[in-house]
Amino acid sequence: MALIDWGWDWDPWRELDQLSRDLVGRPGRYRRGGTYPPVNAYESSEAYGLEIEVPGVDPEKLELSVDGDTVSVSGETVAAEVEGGFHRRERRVGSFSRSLRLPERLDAEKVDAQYRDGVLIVKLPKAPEARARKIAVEAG
Amino acid sequence: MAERDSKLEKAGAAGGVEHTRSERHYTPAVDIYETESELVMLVDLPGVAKEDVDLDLEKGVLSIFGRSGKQEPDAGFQPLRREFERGHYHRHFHLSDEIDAEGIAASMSRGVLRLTLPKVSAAQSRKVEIKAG
Repeated sequence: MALIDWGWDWDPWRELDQLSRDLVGRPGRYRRGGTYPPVNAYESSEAYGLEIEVPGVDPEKLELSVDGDTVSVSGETVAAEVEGGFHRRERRVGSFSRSLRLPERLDAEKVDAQYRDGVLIVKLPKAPEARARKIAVEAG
Repeated sequence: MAERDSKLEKAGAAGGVEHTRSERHYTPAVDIYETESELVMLVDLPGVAKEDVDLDLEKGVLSIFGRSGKQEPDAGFQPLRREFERGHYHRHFHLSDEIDAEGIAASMSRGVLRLTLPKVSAAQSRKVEIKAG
């Protein structure tokens, strides 16, 4: 005799996931919650394209490096100096760092990176050999 | 979308505004803080250019719209991995009477909208009465 009918399709994990999405306040927009910065990757026969969402970052503090088949991005968002405290604080602040491994090796010499409207757009031509080097990020 | 919005705004500052737009809108992350003379709002609108931000103030409700730019990658590129959706942004806030609506200023930098909402001078000196609960 069941005191409570949970229903057959009740999935506590799904409910928890939905609840956390509601609390975070940006439902549906991000997959893989928690990984920052979020990245969309594209591939053509000759190159990879990345969109890395990092609003509010000083381009001087954005670093992008390529090593073999791996792209790394790091940077920092600086919090506003507030005396009276925040009424609401939802935006992410602090340093971040992320590495992405792509299916093929990259031509580090020909990487093009532009920071435009808070999104870092990177074009990475594929190449047989790879060398690690830093790429200057241009403000768009 | 409208259901999501209302759910969000229950936890937020505003509510009760109907949505009739059919496009996909996301709720941007916001910081709000107060100084002696003004309220400052920082709104994350990544992918939105300055000219694609619309601000609307009607009956004390400030609506923020941001139209996201390019939705598709260049020709020949196929999606490999998708961690965020492109879409437009919308969020609204009820402003208190203490805000000088005429003096609201907005600027856009690096995908972040900054709004400064000055307090009316009377509100700056007025003491806030605390009611016993």
